[in-house]
Amino acid sequence: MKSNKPNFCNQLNRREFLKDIGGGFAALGLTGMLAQDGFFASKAMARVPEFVNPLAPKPAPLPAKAKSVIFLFMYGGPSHMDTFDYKPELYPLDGKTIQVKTFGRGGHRNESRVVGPKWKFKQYGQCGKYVSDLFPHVGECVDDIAFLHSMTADSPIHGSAMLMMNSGNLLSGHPSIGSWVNYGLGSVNENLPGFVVMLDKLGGPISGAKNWSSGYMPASYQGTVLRSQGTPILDLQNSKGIARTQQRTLLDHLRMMNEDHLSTRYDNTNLAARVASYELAYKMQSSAPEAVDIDKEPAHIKELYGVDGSRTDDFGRKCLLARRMVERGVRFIQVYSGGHHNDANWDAHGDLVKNHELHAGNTDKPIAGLLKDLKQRGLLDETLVVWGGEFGRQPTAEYKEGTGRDHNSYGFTMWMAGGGIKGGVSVGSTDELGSRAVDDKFHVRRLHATILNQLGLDPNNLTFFHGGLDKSLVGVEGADPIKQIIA
Amino acid sequence: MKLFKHKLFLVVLLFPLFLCGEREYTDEQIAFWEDEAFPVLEENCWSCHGISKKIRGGLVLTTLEGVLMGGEFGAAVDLKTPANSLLLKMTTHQDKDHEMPPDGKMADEDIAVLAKWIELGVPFPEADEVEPEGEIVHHGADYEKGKQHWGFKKADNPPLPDERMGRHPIDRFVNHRLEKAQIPSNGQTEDHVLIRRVYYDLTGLPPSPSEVEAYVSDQDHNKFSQLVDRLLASPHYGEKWGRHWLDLVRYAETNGYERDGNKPEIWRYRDYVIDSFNQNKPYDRLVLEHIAGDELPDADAASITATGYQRLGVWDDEPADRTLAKFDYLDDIVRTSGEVFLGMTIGCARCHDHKIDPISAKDYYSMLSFFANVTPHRQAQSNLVKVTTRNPDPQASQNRRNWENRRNQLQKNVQSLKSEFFAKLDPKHLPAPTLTLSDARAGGLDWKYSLENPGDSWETNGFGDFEWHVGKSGFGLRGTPGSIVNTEWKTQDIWLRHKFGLAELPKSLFLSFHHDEDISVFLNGRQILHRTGYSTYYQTEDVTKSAIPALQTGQNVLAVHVKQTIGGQFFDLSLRGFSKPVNLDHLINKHGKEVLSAGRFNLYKKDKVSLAKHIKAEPSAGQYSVLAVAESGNHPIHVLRRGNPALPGPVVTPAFPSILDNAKAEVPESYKTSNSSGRRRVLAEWLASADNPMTARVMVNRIWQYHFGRGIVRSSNDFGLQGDDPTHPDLLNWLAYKFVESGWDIKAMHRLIMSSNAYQRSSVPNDQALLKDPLNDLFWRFDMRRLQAEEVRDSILAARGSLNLQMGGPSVTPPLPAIVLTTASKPDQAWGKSSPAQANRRSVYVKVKRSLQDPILLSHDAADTDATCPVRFTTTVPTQALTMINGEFVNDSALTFAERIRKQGGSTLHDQIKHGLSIVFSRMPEPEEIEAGVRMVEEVKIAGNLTDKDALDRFALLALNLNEFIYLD
Repeated sequence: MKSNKPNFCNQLNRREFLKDIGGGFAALGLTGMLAQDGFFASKAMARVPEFVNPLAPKPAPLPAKAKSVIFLFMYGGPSHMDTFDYKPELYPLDGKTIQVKTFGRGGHRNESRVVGPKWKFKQYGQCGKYVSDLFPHVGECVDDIAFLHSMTADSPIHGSAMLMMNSGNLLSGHPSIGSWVNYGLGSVNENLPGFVVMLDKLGGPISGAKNWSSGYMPASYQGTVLRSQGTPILDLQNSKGIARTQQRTLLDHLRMMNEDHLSTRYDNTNLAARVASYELAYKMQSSAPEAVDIDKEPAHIKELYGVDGSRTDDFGRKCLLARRMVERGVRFIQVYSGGHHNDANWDAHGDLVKNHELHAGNTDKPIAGLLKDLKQRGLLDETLVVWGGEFGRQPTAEYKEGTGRDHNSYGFTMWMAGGGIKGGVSVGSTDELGSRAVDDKFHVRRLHATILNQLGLDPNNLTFFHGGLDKSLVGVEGADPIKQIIA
Repeated sequence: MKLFKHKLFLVVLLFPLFLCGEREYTDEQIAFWEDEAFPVLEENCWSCHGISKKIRGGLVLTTLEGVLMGGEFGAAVDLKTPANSLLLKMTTHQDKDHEMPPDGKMADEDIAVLAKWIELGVPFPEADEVEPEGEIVHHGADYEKGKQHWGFKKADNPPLPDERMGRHPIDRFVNHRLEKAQIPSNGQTEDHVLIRRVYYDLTGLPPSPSEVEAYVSDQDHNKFSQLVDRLLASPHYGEKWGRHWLDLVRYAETNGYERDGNKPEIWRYRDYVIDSFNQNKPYDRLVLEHIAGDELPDADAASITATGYQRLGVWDDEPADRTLAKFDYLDDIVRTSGEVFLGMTIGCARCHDHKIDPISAKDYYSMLSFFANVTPHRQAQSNLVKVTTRNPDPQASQNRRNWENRRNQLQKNVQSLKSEFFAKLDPKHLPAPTLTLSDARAGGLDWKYSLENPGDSWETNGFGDFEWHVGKSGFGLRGTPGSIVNTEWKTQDIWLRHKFGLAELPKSLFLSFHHDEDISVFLNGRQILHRTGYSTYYQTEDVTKSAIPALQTGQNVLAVHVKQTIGGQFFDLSLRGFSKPVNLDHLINKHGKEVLSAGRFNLYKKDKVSLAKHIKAEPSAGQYSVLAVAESGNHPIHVLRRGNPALPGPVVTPAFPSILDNAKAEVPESYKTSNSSGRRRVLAEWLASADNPMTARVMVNRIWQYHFGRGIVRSSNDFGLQGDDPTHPDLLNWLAYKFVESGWDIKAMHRLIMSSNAYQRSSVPNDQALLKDPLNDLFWRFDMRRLQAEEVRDSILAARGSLNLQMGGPSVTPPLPAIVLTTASKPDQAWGKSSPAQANRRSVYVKVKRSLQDPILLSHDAADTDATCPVRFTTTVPTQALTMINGEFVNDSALTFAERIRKQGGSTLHDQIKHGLSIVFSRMPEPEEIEAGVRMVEEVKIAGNLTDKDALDRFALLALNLNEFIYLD
């Protein structure tokens, strides 16, 4: 076929791509491995074209600082002025009604009553960063962290804001950032998914699977839900009563019968791909449970993460699992703190103290444990850790009484550590109230651009053709990485 | 709008002379640059024209060369006549099509600086230059090139290639190309392969072994066309081809986003699609009904149901920007309709002229204005439209009215006594209250109210009601039966809001109300009650299930709209929540006598029983509700610059894409109805016209695609310049011509295509042909395909013998693994629980929930529902194998399948294996294949120390995983 079509950014055209995702002709990767295993040794397979797993690793187009990303998603929206964005001038205003423009669940307002920060701040580390008493353990790690105090997003409503933080778009139907990474880099470890999501034990975030969906990309790029207890991945375990030896026999026969079928259809790579996929699944079954078996971790490591049966146990387990995933080459790991609705996540509309004590208390030690453990293993250099929610909260009260804060997408804090990010720095700022970003505003797209950039992907050239457009995570406007925090 | 064909990059040749010399500037020039021009340019222009990743309009303003060269609309400056400089025309907004900067006009003094800078000869010291690195982004497409593009030109009826190429016209086109390329084609495939291919193709189901055998042994020359006719007449044909259509129209039964709420009654649209294919509804009619089914002169229940198409998209019920959300909704309709009916990516022109295709932003907004008056998405029942099946029987209508009168009387007695009881019951018999909003019987409640229509989103929490009046309930005219009026209301409509805080969510919730007349009650924007007509008494409803999910801790808003037509008028309500569940029926049985008196309590009990009986005897009046479109108001549409509602450009009126049709879209007076503008009917008739260059071709290409696995144009939603060229342009045009000539007869098109040799070819490889045409562009063979997600699940159910072929009705929810359910924010409320028989219905009846999908369907690439899905992916990944080998559904199915084999297959293992394989292969297995199965059973028996039963169970699992089961030749 002639091809005089515009070929944007040298990406594959759709047909090549469609072929590719079904398993294409390629000389790399999986086939070699399977051939070594004697897998394709039978005569019938001699003419079978080589198959490549759609998720096989691809080299990063640019120099990569990070190999993996751990995104600690504080669902519900943590309050920045009560955690990492120190606002000394806000304390004395407590209870006073002031003029300030806000926009949250309760709509647009011009004036409201200030809720002073409910925790004291202390300086930590060489850099002297102020951190609130909610995060004493994370405070110890500030010299490895770059704080982004001037994040902005386009929506202060959970549903759309979650989609924006995860897929760069307020509208549903776009691939999540983990899917983009899967698409751009593949997975180093074919025995594990390249993009895993760990949810809060109370439930998923709102919009559920939409938050790790592959949108208009094939489903093979979507996030896989990983559980920290029980069967880690859907259908990983043999069905009841089928021992592994039986399964091996079954798979051997399945392969032989499929090879017979293939012998007269030798040019069909999809059939070969399907044969290979069973072998990969079989390997995944043996390696994935090992990957999630944290009982083998020594006691002092468990202790570091707060895996001790206390309130930090659940999130600590997930952070520890995240590290084990990183060690095994998983590219993108998302861990949710908070699920379900109302106070089961960081959405502190009612009692701010009760809500944030709960969620910060559950996560502070595990997060610090993760950073320290990654560092002492030399993994922090190549692992980008991202912390934050879909937005922050307002400096003022939502209601006549109480301490609850409404949502705030005009300005909020996120932070990054490791993966080629400078430590001990804070960039951007909100006004003296924390009501909106004023200096160096960083839109969510900038955060996404930074993550992709650290992985060696060009945020403005990682595109997928859909609906008549070359679409990208950072949108048609494009976005640049946040240079100020890149080491 | 002007169309630009300039390409100004060639102009570069003109400038080297000019740029050769060193730049020498006077002190005045330098000072002006540094103090005035540089800051203005840097602040206002450079971010899009030099230092960005994308250089807009091809214009670079960060170098002198760029300034002099200009962008695609011409040089930025005119040094001879500075006032004529484009830079000034655009910044002063003289050029209405290009007002710069796009996000707002610069200050006049800054524009004056630019003018002086040009007068001074654009001094630009080299040291301040920034070399652009970004990609140059062009505005607008090449219109002339677009006009020549095959896809946008009306097709001729091409002459048939000569008869030597074959008897069948399709074969003449196909073989002609093959002969020219000297590629050998495959012969006709074997009968057992063909019948399996045709069964799946037309019904999505496998033939039974006996059907295969009968077909293979049939000696009739016409057996193939008889088979096709038989399957086209099968109701399962509509299920299969309806599912293709559902992919295109992004069919889903929920809205997505936070609550992922249900689209009520939307399954009726799915049934409409299935029925339409089964009835062989002409395609032009299908198009008319989808776009304007409510505006047609012969509108009926089916055509109104069809407009549900415009309600299928995702909908954020709590958007950050409501104006933008309105355009997102209309965009979804325009974008989907453009791709589905026209094969054009019109949606790309929302923010700017299409980059590649000759579709301008004006075209886009003109298309959008056909839909401008469609009412927005609303909660729950609000978008439902009542329809009546044709020719209702007059006696039935009378019966219905009698039944309603009696029901009303019984309801009045039961409801008013219940409500009175609840109001008077001593609180000591109730759990602790968590919420008490009182009605007038207990002194009333302060409400904000408006007598003017407050516009969109008035019912939501975020709405500003500070300018509304304040009044105590109830509201109405004194003397209205059963009323207690504290605030007089005598206009036609009243809108009310009451905000309340909530520390904890109640476990039970009761709404008591009295309305005269129509009332809608919303809680945080979600409709929790809608009643028409009037009551003469208070009634009480347990709204625990419907309303508590709408509540939140913190601020809530209760919003009510009451509409008055005639006679008395009144509104009042109370809402009471409790910390524990409350069973009002139990309470009334226990305390009814003391609260109501014995006589009235007995009346209550008697009428309650009568009412229950009466409700069961409800006569049908052929009336039901469907989710459909309605119009209201007259909303002007502007071109929105960069798609931003805050940057409105000129007003547009309905018009067709100018590349296809320059005629103005006039709406005849007779098309306007009392409820509707008639605009969509104009669009629908244009789309469904034989003169439309796109519609017929796009549809025949789809029919071809679903038969052959790929369209003659592979990019079946995009016939534009970015799409694929047709592999057989003449064939495509000829088919389109035939299609229109046949009266847009879809089943006739199936018969035509399937009767060709091209369709009946074998799929086997041929080295010579593979070498020349590895992608089978020329159709030298039939391409193998994997079963689609629905076919995989349905075939497994069929193999085990438990596929439930019941058609139509509300969707079913087969069991989902716990790990899937826990991904929902409310795992216990996320999915339903169908009975086993219902769970075994065909996959087209499985509920399509945007945020939760059945893994067996999802992993086999079921259509994504957030946008139109023209071609499904076929991915193969290990997690899919996990689902097929370890998943509960497949394992359960294997057990049932094995049971069937044992029962039907005979007494020996050999015969059982033979029977099992004949089911999954839809053919008689070869002796070696049976032997292989027997060996498998024997080996697994030893390996696992299994019983005969267990070993055969494992075989059944293997059989369901065979490639031959999942792939079609």
